[in-house]
Amino acid sequence: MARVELKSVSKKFGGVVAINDLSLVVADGELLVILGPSGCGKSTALRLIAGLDEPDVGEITIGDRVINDVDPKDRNVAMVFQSYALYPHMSVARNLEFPLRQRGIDREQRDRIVSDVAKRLGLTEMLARKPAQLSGGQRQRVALGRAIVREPDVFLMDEPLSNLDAALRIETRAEIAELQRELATTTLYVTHDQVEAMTMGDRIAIMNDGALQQVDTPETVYSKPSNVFVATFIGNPGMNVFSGTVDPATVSPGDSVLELLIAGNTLSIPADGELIDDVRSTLGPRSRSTTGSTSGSTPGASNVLIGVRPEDASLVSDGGVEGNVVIVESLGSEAHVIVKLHDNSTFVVRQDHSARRPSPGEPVNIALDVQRVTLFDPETKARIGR
Amino acid sequence: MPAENEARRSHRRRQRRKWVSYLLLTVGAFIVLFPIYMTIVNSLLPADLIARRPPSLFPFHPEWSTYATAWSKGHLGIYLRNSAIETAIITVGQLTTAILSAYAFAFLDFPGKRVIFIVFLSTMMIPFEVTLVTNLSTISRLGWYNTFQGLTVPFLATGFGTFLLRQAFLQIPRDLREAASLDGYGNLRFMARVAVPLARPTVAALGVFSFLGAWNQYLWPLVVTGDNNAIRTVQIGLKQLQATQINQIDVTLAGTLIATAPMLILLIIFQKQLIRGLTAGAVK
Repeated sequence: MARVELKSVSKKFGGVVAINDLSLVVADGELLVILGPSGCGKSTALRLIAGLDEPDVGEITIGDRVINDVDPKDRNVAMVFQSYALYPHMSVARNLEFPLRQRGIDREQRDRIVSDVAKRLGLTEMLARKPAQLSGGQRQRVALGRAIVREPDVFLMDEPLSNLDAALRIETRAEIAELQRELATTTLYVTHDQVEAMTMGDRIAIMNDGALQQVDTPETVYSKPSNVFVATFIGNPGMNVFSGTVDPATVSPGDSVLELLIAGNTLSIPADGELIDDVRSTLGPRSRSTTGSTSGSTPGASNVLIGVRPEDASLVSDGGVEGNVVIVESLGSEAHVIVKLHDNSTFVVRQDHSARRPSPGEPVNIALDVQRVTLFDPETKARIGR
Repeated sequence: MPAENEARRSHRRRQRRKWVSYLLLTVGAFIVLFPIYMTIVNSLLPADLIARRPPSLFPFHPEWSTYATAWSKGHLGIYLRNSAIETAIITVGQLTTAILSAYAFAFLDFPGKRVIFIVFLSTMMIPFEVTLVTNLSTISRLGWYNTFQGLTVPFLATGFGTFLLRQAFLQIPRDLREAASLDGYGNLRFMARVAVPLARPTVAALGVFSFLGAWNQYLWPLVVTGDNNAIRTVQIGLKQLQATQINQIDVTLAGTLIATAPMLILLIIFQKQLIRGLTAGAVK
C-alpha cells in the first residue's frame, strides 16, 4: 500500500495559478477529502497525482517512489471521474474488464475478478447491459468497480457523487466510505460538498485559490478553523465573523479573561495563557498604528475579528451584541435569524423550533457563548490562539 | 362540444398535411426515378424502337441479350474488376489516413496543429481538376503511368474525411481518453478500442462516400491509364463501349446499368449508416 506526498507543488495554466505551493501528506490507507469552492485547484491536485497534468515545480511521491516522470499507467492509481467516463459501446462486464486487458491477465482470471467485483457492488445482474441502460447510481458503481478491479495503490475520486440525486448521494457516500475502509486503499476524494467531506473524510484538506488552508480531522476543522476562510466555508451557515477591538496594553500574561470591545459594549471571554500570549504577540506591536478606525475603539486598542458559530449565539432581551433583524429563514426544525450588525456584517443566529421568531426590522440583542468565541487577526485572517 | 370540434379539426388538418407531403414526395420520386426507369426500358428495346416517337414506355419483347453483348463487347468483366481494385484501395486508404489524421487533430497536442488543420481544410476548397496537370506530371515522373499506384495514390488522403471524422472524435468526452490512459491504453489502442467504435456511423458514412467517389471517377482514370486496357476502369470502359457500339444505344445502356449495380447494392445496404453519419451531431 502507499503513502502519497506532495512537496511544494505548483501548477499554472497559462497565467492562471491553479495550485500554489501545495504540500500535503496522505497516510497509507487514509481517506483524505480535498474540499474547496470550484476553481480552488482541488481537481488539479488530483490530476497531478494521476499524471494527467504535470506539476511546474515540486515533487510528488507514492510510497517511496518519486512519480513526477512516471507514466500515468505505471503509477498504479485508479481514478473515478465525475462523469464516470464509462465506455458507452461496451457492456458493464467489458467496462469492468477494460483495465485488466492491458495487463496480460488471462481470460479466466479476468472473468473471475469481474464477477467478484460485480457481486461486491451489486452489479451481477447488469453485466450484459450497456451504460445507457443503467440508472445513475448503477453507472456510478460501474465507475467505482472499474477502479477496484485493478487493486491500485491509490484511489483518486473526483466529485464522484455530484451527478446523483440527493437521496442516492447520501446512500452512496456511506457505501464508498465503507468500501474504502474495507479495502484500506489510500484515497484522495475531491468534493465541493462539505457534508460529504465531514461525513467521509478521515481528514479534510481545505483549499482556496490554489492554496491549502488547513488539513485536519473534521471535528478540528469545524471547532478550530485555522483562518477566516475555513471558519466561514465550513458549517451551514458558516461561522459569523465581525469586528471588535482589544487593547493589548491592558492584557497581562497572567490574565484568565480577555476583554473585547464590540460597538461600545464589553465582552469578557475566558482565556488561557496561550491565547493571552498570542493576542499580545500578534496584536500588541500593531496597537499604535491602528487606532480609531472602529466605532467605540479607544486609543491604543487594536482591531480584531471575532468569530461565533450560529448555534453558539442566542437572542436575549438586553445586553450582548446589538443589531437589526433582516430576515428569518425557517427550516422547520430550526430557524436562521439573519441580523445586520454595527459594522454592517451579517450575523446568523440558529434558533430551535420553540424559540420566538422576531420580525424583520426588529432590533435584537445577541448573547454569545463566551466559551466558544474564536479570534482572528484582521490582517492575516489567521486564527489567534491555538 | 367546442373542444371536440377543435380536436377533430386539428386531426383533419394533420391528415391533410400528411397527404400533401406524400403527394410531393411521390412527384419527387417520380422525377428522380423516371430517367433510371427509361434507362432500364431502353436497354431492353431493340435499337430502332429507342428512336421511335412517341417513345415506348414498356419493353413488351425485352431483349436480354443486350446485357451479354455489353458484358463481352465492352470487356466489362475486367473493367469491373479494375474498378473494384481501385475502389477498394482508395476506400481503405482514405479511411486509414482519415482516421489517423482526424485522431491526431482531435486528441493529440502538437505544435502548429491549428495551422496544419486549416491547410487540411483548404484542400477541400480546391477542385481536383486544378491539380490534375501537376498530379499527372508527378505520377509520370515516378514511372507510375498506367499502373494501379498511379490510379489510386493521389486519392489516398482526404481533407474532407479528416474533417468529418475529427468532428466525430471531438464528440468523445476527454475523460474517456484520460481514463483509458490511466489503464495503460496508448493512443493506437484507444483509437482501435474506443474512438473508432464510438465514431462508427461516421466511419461507415465516410466509407460509402469514398467508395462512391472512387467508383464514379472518370477524368483521372482516363488520363492516367492511357492506352493500357489491363487497368482501365469501368467508367472509361463505358465510354469506349459507347464509341465502338455507336448504333447500339441499348447495349451502352445495359453496360451502364451493369456498372451501376455494385454501387446500388452498397447504397441499399448502408443507407441507414449513411444518413446517420451525416446527421450525427446535427440534432442534439
